[in-house]
Amino acid sequence: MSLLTGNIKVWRFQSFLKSTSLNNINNNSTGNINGININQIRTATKKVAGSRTNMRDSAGRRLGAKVAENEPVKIGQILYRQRGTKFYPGENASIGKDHTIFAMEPGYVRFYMDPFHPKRKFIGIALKSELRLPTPHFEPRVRRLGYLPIEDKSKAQFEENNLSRKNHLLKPQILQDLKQRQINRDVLLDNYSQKLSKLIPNLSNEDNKLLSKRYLLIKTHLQNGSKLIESQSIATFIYLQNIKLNLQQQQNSQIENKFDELKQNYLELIKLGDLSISFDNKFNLIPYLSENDRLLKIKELDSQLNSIFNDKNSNRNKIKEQIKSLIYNNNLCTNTERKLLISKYLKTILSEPIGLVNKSDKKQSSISKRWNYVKNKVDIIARSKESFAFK
Amino acid sequence: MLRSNILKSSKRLLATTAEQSTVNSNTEKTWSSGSKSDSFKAGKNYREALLNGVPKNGPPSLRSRKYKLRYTSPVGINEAFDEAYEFLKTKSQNKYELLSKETDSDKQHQLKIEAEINNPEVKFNFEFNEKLENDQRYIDYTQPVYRELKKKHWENYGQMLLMQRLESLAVIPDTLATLEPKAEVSLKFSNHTGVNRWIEPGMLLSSNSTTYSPTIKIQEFDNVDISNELYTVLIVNPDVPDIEKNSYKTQLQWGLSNVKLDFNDNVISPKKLLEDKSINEIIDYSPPVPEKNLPNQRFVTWVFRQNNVQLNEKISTRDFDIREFVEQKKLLPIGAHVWRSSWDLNVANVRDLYGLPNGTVFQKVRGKHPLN
Repeated sequence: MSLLTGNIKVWRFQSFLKSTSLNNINNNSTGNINGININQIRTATKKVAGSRTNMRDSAGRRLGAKVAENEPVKIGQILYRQRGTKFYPGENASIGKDHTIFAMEPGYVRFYMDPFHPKRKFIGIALKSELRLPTPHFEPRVRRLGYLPIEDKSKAQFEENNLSRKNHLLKPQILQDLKQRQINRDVLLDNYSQKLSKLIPNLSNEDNKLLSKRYLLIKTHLQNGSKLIESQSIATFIYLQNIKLNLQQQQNSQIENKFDELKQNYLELIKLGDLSISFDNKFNLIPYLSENDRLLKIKELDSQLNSIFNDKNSNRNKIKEQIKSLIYNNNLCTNTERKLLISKYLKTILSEPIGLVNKSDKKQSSISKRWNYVKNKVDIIARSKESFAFK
Repeated sequence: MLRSNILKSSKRLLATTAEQSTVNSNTEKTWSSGSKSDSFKAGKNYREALLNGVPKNGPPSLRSRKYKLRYTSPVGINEAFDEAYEFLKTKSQNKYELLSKETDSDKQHQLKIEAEINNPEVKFNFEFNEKLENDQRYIDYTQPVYRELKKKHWENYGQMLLMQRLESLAVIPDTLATLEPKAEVSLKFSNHTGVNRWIEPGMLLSSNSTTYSPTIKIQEFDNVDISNELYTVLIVNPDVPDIEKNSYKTQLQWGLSNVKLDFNDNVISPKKLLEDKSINEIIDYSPPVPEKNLPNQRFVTWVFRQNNVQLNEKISTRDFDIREFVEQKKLLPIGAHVWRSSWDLNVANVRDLYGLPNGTVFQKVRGKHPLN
């Protein structure tokens, strides 16, 4: 490498010498080097006469302002033609692809400067003749509505029914879905009202309807992750709001009294309902159960499962089925609790020291292989029948 | 007490298993009496690992036994952590000493934050628990340190998003001149639809979802005397068409005043509205019912501090000048939120429910007639 670079350096030096000597020659118009005479000749480098390429200037582009300050303009009217952005579009003005500034709103032309862009000049449109631009920074914008109502009633109706293509195509499907949801809701409502009439026997039909509607709404809120108390108050709030609106529309003279009466009735009804009804884990109605009572029941289930699981005398397969049905058919445990129970009682292989045997005793044991991450090798594990909870 | 024996660390260099911890798990490692360390959402084992080092059977953040067995702590990390922990603890105790001598409320607030901000447990609590709908056992916003953490968290995204939406939708200056956000305002509609979702500022909502009044959550961060403070909430619509003037006017959609809040219990929900009789409803809720063929309408929620002054006024007309009202009542804007609504097929049903007259249908094409 060092050799190579050395060579390059030498070569560069030589060429430098050459160029300097040549420069010397050029500087003297005639010179005598080593006895050789050189006479320099100047040849023509510039055309003397004109040619076709000159004198082909285009006509003027008629650039510049097309309107004066405070001149009234219409939408789309051109305000300024320019090359580049001598002026920028200000309020209610816009700019074209050739930087032409034009009006976006009808109003009065303003040429102005903006303290937010001190180097720029703007052309804008003031919507009223007395307004100055720019609009003060913290003042509300002056806006033009521009839309006119359709006076003709039939035309207005036609326009209201007129949908965009997308919405028009979607509408039948949306209506169908709505209908289906309503049907599903009715089925649930029916179910709830039947349950309610069993749980609270002497309930009038109207009250039954009210309560079943209430529980349907609470159910949707619970499903979407709201807390029970929240969901209950939302249901109450919406019912009260609805009756209030209903009364307001009737233009009853004694709205206040009527509302208070209805409210009182409803509050009493829901007090009765909320104290006698709870939801199970599939959102069916069941007799009221406080959270503590529910936890107690889950504990009971746990101990029951434990006793069944440890029953040595009966058939293990039957036990498994029994445990399965107890866990999956339980309507009080949450998903987490269910998972815990499953991992506790439906595990096939019991945790490790139980049933581990010497692997030499092959007839009595089942053999499985497992990678040992500590020793970096395969472990052979022999288990006796004891280690399997079920077959 | 150190978590690991230094003599053992040489062995750990070669070990491929997790270190054997010689921990007394009962050691109390809380800095302030206020921190509620015994209840821990992420599980007891997480807390123990955080305060006492990696347990015998591997770190609890690794779920699979395979990875737990493979895990090796970096050499000396526990010693370094212990040193750091002791250092921070002494620093925090210094702050508590200063705090006991301090009398100025703002400085006390600052010292309370500084004393706890580096507490690993506090950081852990805040990082791994629900911040908006907080569980008081883990994130307690009455403690200044959690408010400070939440404020930082909000400033990093929520606040910026809100201000961007307010500016780009021209909520400021169309309603009020500007906003210096001091509190986080979150909004959702808990109603007949059952949808339970916080609304991002600027979202376009259907008329069905906005049929009933929204649920508003106001999270204060500042060192305010919250037990005496009262709040006003106004929802305005600055895009109501004013056909006579060929312009727009502002309407008041909903107004609440004398709302009492708490650092933790700060949701104006149906529950609160039913139970809290001290809340004054300035005007009852009127749902968005946009007209056909008009641009989207903005519905702006403004939240104000009343500066301890009762506001018992009722307003009967919807036409509203929010700037004048705010100036008159000397309200201090601390937060805002905005959603948008446009005409849809359900608007007629909402009008029907509220007994409103039929909506005006506008021409599809915008006219050229100038402003008067």
